[in-house]
Amino acid sequence: MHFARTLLIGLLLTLGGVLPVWGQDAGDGSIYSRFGIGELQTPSSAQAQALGGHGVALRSLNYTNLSNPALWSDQVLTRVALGARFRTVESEGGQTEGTSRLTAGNFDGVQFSFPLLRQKLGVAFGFVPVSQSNFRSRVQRTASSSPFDDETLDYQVEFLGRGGLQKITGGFGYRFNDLISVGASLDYLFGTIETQRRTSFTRPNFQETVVTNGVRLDALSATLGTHLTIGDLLRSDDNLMVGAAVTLPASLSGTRTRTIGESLDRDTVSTASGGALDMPLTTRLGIAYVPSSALTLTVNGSYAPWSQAESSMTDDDVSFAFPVGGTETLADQWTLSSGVEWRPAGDDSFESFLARTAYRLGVSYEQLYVSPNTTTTLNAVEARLGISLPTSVSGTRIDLTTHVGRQGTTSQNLVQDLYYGVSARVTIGERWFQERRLR
Amino acid sequence: MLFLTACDDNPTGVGVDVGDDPLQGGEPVTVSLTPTSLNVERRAPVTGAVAGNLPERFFAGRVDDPLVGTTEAQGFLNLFQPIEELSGSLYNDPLTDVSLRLAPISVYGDTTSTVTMALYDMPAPWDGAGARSDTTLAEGEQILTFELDPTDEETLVPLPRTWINENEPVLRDTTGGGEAFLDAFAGFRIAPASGNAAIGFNRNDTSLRVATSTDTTNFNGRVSLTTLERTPSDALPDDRALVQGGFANALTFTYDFDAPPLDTLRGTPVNRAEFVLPVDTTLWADSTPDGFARPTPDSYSFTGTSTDGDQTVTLSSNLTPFNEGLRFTGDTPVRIFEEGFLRESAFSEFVITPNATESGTSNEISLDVALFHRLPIDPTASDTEGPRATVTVTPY
Repeated sequence: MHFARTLLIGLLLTLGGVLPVWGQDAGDGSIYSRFGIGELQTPSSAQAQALGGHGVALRSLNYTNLSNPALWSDQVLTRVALGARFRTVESEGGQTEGTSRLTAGNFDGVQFSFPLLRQKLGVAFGFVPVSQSNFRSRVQRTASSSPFDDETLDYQVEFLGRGGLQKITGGFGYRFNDLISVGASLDYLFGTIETQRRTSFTRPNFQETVVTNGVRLDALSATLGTHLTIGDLLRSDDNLMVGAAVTLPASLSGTRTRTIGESLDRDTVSTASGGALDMPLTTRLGIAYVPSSALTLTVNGSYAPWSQAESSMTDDDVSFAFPVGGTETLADQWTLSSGVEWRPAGDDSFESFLARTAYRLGVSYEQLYVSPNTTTTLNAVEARLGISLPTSVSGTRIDLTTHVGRQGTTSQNLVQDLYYGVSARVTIGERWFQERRLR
Repeated sequence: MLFLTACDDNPTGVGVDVGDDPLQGGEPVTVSLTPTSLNVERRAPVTGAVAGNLPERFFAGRVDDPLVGTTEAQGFLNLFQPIEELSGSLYNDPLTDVSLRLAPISVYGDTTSTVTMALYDMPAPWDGAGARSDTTLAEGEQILTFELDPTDEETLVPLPRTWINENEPVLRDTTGGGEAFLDAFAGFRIAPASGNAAIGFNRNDTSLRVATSTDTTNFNGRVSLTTLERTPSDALPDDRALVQGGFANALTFTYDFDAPPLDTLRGTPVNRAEFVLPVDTTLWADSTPDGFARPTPDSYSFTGTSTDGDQTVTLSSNLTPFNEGLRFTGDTPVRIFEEGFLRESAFSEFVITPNATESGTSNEISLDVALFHRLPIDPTASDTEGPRATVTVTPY
């Protein structure tokens, strides 16, 4: 118990260092993160992620799932979760020969939750990524004019995407009875998405120039969720759970700026404020079946009609539009995922380490919400394999998940990404706010 | 995490052309920007200084240069009294010889003939420290004339017995620790009498040699000054600008960032910038007679006058010319144009002045000559040979 508390305090202190650098994820990824608001992330729980999706139906005493506030009612322990992930993307296609390989690493969110009434009323807060823009392309070219009479001027242009949206969320979940629970959260989305163009030279006396088109966004939204549990359906002690959550439409108000230069030495050459991008309603539905405490099966789906999104930031008064290519490049997004978790020991905490370890497998299919050429629908398929390691501290687990997937296509001048990576998350649970009792 | 994610990246052009709005732009464009104005500014530089300060050089002579015109220089010199050495024979015995030692260090003009100089007494003490080339001093009586071969390393000018007799008490008067000498001895003026050359001397190597039958001492140069006059030549074409140390000694030019074509580049990042100020070597050579020395500056100072006019900022103190002229590139020109395109020009005017040949510092004086191109008469003409800035920018 003392160890867990120490670890918890350490993690909380770490948050102080993590939060300020949240928007500074390192590394690079898919070119598709250039479109829309970047590659969408799925904030949920380590368990749900390993099972392929958001897991809106997945009740758990060990995890706080941010995808459905109704699940926050099931809390027994005060809980903190912190994660990070790495991903490598290998891209090919388009008019360029060869393969691009890029690697990115970033923090995967921080969650803090606790019960107000044990397994009745719970509260959760989270600071999680919503989207990420981290593309990177580099080309070598020869200028059409040169300051040298008899020599051409070769140069390199590097295009980079940086930033993304984050979300601070906070809300509660309330369980009416064994059958039904509801929850709601208030979500504040904010962040900056930048596209940088760096022009550099190998010759002396030439300076690299950096032009950055950036848009600073923020919006207020809310998520409503409900959860239904039906016990003893097919066998004794089994549970069939159905969860649903909707994230309400949000209007991302934005300020676009074009700057020249680097970091602290930037000059703003143009600014346009007052625009907005209207994000659509996102609906998530999931089913989980738990035949025994050792086995969990899930199926999840989601839908977001991004094709209906509207943006007033596509005028040309500052020479760049947001989102890139206009809202014509947005398409309806839907996902379908399924997963299975096997924990040999079930709820028996006296079994061996390996028996108490959870083994997970998940697959997902997604129709991406971006269509860069406005005509081709892009898909992604992904498989995940994960384990959840118990620790000597009850309620604290370490989750490791690997994933491999493919998205996009090499036809229509598009690119196909093969991506793979690993994520790690520590979830710490400890009993707080205990009533003092006389012995 | 940063390390792990950075070590394996292999970015290529994959993805650049994805979508109807592909990644594009970033092509640098090189433009030639002619200055808004370019002029030669006549300034009267500081040509006087006391020992330990620049300029150490002073000139005397007259040159009729077919390209430049007529230049006349008069040199003024006063001396230290070596008090500690004025003892024994030097203090008591009759002076047998007093000579002015001159050591030429540079020649402008005809090097094949001797020149005749006239040596004058100065009638009263004068203050040369910080004096400029247009200073006027009272004239004294001529002592003598002497011939000087510009190619000689040293010339001794023996002063006449009458001068020695007249000045012997003053030379030996150490009253007040030398104050009496300072009050009574005013030095010399060296002026051209005939010939076609101006000779440069170093004050520190110039002395008055005083001798008795058994001993010799030197009164070294303490303060020097050069005054200059010039009559321009009609042979100089309108499209050329003559810059000469000591006279028209500054080439000034401006860029108006609020006027075309510079205003069209507002907000444009700069990759490279180079000031190019060509010199005319052809006319130069054609106008140089045989045996005629016309030194050119070894280096230049490039300064900027701040927009508010309060400050002169040295942008380069040692700009070395190439055969075709001056080229100035690097971080500073980039900053100048970047500042002008992105914010407000930091400088209202740029000034180029020749440094002296000998010490390579702008505080020295010279009569070195450079023949720069002026702006094209037609302001819209694309004059790749004229003064310009070659600027490489990356439009967004």
